[in-house]
Amino acid sequence: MLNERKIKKMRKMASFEAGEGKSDLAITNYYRSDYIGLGLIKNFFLITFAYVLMVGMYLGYKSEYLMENLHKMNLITFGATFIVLYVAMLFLYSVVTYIYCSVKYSKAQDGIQHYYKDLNQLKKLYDREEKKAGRETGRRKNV
Amino acid sequence: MTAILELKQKMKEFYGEHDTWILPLLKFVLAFVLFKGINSYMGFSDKMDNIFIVLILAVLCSILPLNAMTAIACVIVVGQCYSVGIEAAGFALILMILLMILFLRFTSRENLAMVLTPIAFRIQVPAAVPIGCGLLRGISSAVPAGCGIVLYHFMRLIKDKAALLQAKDTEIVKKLQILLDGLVKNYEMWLTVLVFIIVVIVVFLIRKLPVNYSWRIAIVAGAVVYILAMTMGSMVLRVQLDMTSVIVNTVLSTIISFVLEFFVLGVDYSRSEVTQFEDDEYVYYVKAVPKALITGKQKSVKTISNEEEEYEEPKFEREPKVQQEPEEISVPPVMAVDSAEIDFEKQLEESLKDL
Repeated sequence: MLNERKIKKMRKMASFEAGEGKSDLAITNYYRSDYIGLGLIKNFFLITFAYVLMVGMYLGYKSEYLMENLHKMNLITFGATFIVLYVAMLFLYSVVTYIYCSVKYSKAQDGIQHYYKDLNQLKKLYDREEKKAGRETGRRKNV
Repeated sequence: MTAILELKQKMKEFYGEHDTWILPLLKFVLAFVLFKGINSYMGFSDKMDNIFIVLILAVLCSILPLNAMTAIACVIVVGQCYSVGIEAAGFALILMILLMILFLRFTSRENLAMVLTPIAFRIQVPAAVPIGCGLLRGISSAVPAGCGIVLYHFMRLIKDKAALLQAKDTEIVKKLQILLDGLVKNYEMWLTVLVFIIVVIVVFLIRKLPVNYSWRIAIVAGAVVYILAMTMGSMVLRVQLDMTSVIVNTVLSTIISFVLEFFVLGVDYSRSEVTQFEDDEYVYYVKAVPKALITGKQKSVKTISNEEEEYEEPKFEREPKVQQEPEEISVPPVMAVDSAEIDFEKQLEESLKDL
């Protein structure tokens, strides 16, 4: 016989799994430290790539000036400026990524708590149904 | 007012019933308007402007998430730039990648604002975007809106400098300088980005205040701040702006925002109630503001006939139960026998004799 309560709960859970819960479930598969760590590693590569693009554009933009004045410039200071800027940018974006990942993880945990609560209730419903079916057929649960 | 409320109610009911196809349809229309707008504004590539390509992309966007629309719009901009020159296309690609890495990856749920900003600029209601973002989303939506401004000004730059960029005697370095200077030294763009951020913050903060008509106050405050900030910014940065058009556009944006407020919030502050209660740990001060709802008129049909008809009591016929048809069993049909004609005692005796 159809259990209306069970069906309603399963529908709610299925729509959560397919909708906003999809990303929440993926996030909470990780430990918090692992999730943030992964985010920081991704951030490192992305920022490095973006910085290389930016430096490339800058050097292209200033190429005429550099060609004329390269011999007069202090190349160590010039290179050091790029490195300092890179470290500053990486640090800034690492902080932003850390905050972003922390907030995202805690939000995902909040969302998933309701899901687990529903999951427990569903399990109880199944247990109750199984018990009832066992009583009707005279089966006994193996201990 | 009642008629508008009824219309709102009907629209909500209609959307509730048919949301499975209304949402994809709206996404399709938005994507079509966006892609067609980009193509008609830039208009360098006929291939990109092909109606079939635009339609196919719009259909794709109707079933894909909203972020796909943003990505496809960026691809169309790069494609249009490719018709101007490979340098412009390369620059556009780098610009999009930088925007995505540095800003858009943190605001993946708000990226609709980036798509809406160029459309709002095209239809001359730019202030509607920051006010709408402040009302419906959060402060973080200012980031994609700012990226949308950059995208719009980049398209304008390509359009303005197309002749220089297409000229064969212009060196690659010179083209790069034109593009980079056109963006970095575009103070109107930076001013608009700054004003957008301020307006989103102001609208969001006022909207959250626990006062009556907070949404409407936020809209008006946002519009006033937009005009003031644009005026002061243009004086400080020495940007030439047509202030009349700024004011007219902001008034139009305010009207759009009021329409938005009516459809999204629509509360009746005149019937708000303030209650106070407490439990063991807290004292609660609750203010309940009812939504402005109207129940649909119930239409009653009265049949009037000239002939006098005797009143008949309504007959409630029980619907015949649908019985499950028994499965067909392959047995020979049994003739109908009248049970009164059979002498069961006699038959039983005979059968016992046989035993």
